[in-house]
Amino acid sequence: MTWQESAAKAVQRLVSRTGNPLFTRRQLIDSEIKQIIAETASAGETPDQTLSRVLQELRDQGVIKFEASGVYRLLKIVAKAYPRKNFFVQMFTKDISLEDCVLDLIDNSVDGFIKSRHLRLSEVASVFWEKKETKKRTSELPEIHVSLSDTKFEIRDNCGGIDFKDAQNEVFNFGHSTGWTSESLGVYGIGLKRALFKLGNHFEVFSQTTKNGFSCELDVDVWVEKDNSIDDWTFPLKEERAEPSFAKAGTRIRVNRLHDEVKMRMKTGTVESSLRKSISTTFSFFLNRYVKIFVNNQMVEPTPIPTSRPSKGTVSFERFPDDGVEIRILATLAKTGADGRYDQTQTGWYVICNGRAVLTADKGEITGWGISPMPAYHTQYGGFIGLVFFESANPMKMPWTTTKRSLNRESAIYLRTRGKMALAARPVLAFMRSKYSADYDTAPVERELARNTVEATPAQLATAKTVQFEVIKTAPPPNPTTRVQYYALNSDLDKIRKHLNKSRMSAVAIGEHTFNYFLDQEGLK
Amino acid sequence: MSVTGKSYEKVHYEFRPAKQVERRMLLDVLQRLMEIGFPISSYQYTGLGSLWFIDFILFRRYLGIRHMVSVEGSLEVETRVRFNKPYGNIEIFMGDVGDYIPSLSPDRKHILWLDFDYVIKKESLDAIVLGASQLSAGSLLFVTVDAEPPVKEGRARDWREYFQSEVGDYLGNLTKDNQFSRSKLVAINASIIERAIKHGLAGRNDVNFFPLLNFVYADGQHQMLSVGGMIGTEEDSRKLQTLNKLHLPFLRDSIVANPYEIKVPLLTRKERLHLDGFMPCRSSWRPREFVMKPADVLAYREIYPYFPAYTEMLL
Repeated sequence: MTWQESAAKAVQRLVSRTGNPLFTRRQLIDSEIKQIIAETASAGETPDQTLSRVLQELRDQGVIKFEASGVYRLLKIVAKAYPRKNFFVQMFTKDISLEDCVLDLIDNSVDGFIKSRHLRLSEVASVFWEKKETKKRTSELPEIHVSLSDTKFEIRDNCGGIDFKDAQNEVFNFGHSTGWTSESLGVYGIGLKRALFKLGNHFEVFSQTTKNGFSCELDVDVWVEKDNSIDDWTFPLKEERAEPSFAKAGTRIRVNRLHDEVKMRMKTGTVESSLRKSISTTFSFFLNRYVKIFVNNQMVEPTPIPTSRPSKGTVSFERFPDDGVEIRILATLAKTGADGRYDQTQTGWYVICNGRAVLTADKGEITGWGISPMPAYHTQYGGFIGLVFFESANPMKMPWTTTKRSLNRESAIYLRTRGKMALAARPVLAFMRSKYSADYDTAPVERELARNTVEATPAQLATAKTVQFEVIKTAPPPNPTTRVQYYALNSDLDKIRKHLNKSRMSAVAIGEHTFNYFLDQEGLK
Repeated sequence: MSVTGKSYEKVHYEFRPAKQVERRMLLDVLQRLMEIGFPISSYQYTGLGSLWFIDFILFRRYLGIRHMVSVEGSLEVETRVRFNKPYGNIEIFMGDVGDYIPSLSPDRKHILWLDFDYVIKKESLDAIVLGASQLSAGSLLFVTVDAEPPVKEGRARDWREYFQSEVGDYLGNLTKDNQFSRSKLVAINASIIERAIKHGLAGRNDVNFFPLLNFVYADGQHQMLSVGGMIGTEEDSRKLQTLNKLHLPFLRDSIVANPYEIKVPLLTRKERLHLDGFMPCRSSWRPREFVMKPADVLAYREIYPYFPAYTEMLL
């Protein structure tokens, strides 16, 4: 280090210690000269004099200013804005659930698959809309195995592995530098690390491609301790041999010393099933088409979005490009279950970015419910299904948050899309509103809707032109009956029950009985 | 709690002179737009025709608009609406206008007049937002609302509560009772409508809203606000610059500031005919034959081309 650099740093240190931009030459010599000599490796006899000369140079450069004899003022004062390991390990992990962390790790595996096969994610995702389903033998698909217990966590795949060079330069960085772009599910450069830190104190990553391999083992507690300069922000890597078989190349991540809170959640026994559910909806499009995913050795089946279309009529569909993102919006009625009812846990808006579901069956404000011109969600809209599909070669343009489980409300693309989502949804909602009247049981309405809709996949529902949902009305068969309702004194009802010797006769039955009696007696039947 | 009586039973449409002046002014603007190159006669007109369809008759007769849709929300008058429609090819949509707007064709240009004759409420805002989202470039959006207090016999506090519950998201920094006093209601309504339009346009980078009209008028004691403009591209905006403002002194480039007040002086037929002989007059001109307030002369000078003539017809 040069004298000038070292002295400038020494001044910064001194000022930040005293909190006063004024300092004397004496103070600087007393507290800093030793470090300056060490940093500059000076062997001279007169460091004090050298310092005086250097201070003059710093003055000429406008870094400091002479105030009085031997008194200086630091002009270029800076505030420290260092990254802190503890923030990433302790704080940043609080914004994400355990399940979502695992989804992030699966993203990593899927990215390995895409990369090793030289596929393009946006193109892979758009296959979703192809009317003809290409059948692939699922036995050939790569597998991602997640195993978790209250003592350890492991995810391993044969998706192709992480390149050694990428591991050295990119994979373990916290975030990407500006200008970085890659067609992948991993976008922000944080998911992998956050997941590892969230899960436990010690992890091992072992990865092999067909060309090279590496491993990385880290004791997080030890790593956090040493945080003095940016050079402490590295993970130790070990070179491993390449995997000659393409079908076996992949990555294995183990987390050994699980955090207490993770262990506690694991012990509740619900994590496995909620994780299975998240995977099956989030990766619904990839499952059994590109990869197979297993949780504790049991395969996860995809949950398809239950869409249908009116037997006579159209669904709402629009497709448009926006700033490098291809967007499709579909709004229609849901498919009813075997009981002829809507499963309201599956209805609402689905938002899918490059094939990965970001929101599923959403009924909240984020998808516009309750924000003009969308009504607030109500059970009468329980048969609504909306689908928004974003595809882009540049995932930075996607409107997702860093957890990829919600949308960035300020995303311009999303704001633009939300208006169109409302336009697509309104006719469906108006139709549903017209079907339900407030005071009756909803079951018969839903069964009637079910009779007048046909199951159809989103791909089958996509159209070449923008269309609006419409149900073509067919004249309903005239209803020959009218509901008759009136109030009667309980004492009178009891008299009738007694008279008929039917002590448990219902009020409805009494009403019908007396009505028929009148028709009979008056000869009107 | 709100005033949402049905217009067809509230007023006899044909006898609202200020409303009629508004219609004629709007008609004039549309005619001038035609002159500067907007093909208004091939636009679709969508309005709330009620039972009277006066706007429909004017626009068919003087603009030659053929595609017309009237939206009617009061399902109980469906047969009367269908009976009263003046032309065979006016399409009737029974239901909430907000449910109709999404089906406005993006391949066509539109005039959408959300002529609400009640106080602003959530459904009206939905329609404004949808209109701003849906209308194709070059289309015109007009909104009319009742700017009277939303709660009769209430005070500023009740009015604030009404607005907060119905249109709370669009009130911006209006939170105090005294910001909702009677004198501020027109401005509040205008700012709500402006926010709703902006909300609807959010994300449409091809178009902007270019204000044209901002009217305040009252037939009797009832204050109404009508605002509107074009949803258009930069090129449309350049074209709009060529509108002759001298011929259209009521044009406005904001829907929230400086509304044009339509004042209709009370005059007999004989007085009108006399005044017309001197129109347009200098600002200092007064009729010699009878006394008239200077303000009334000035008001008449601006509206005489649009003033409706009512006469009894024995049919």
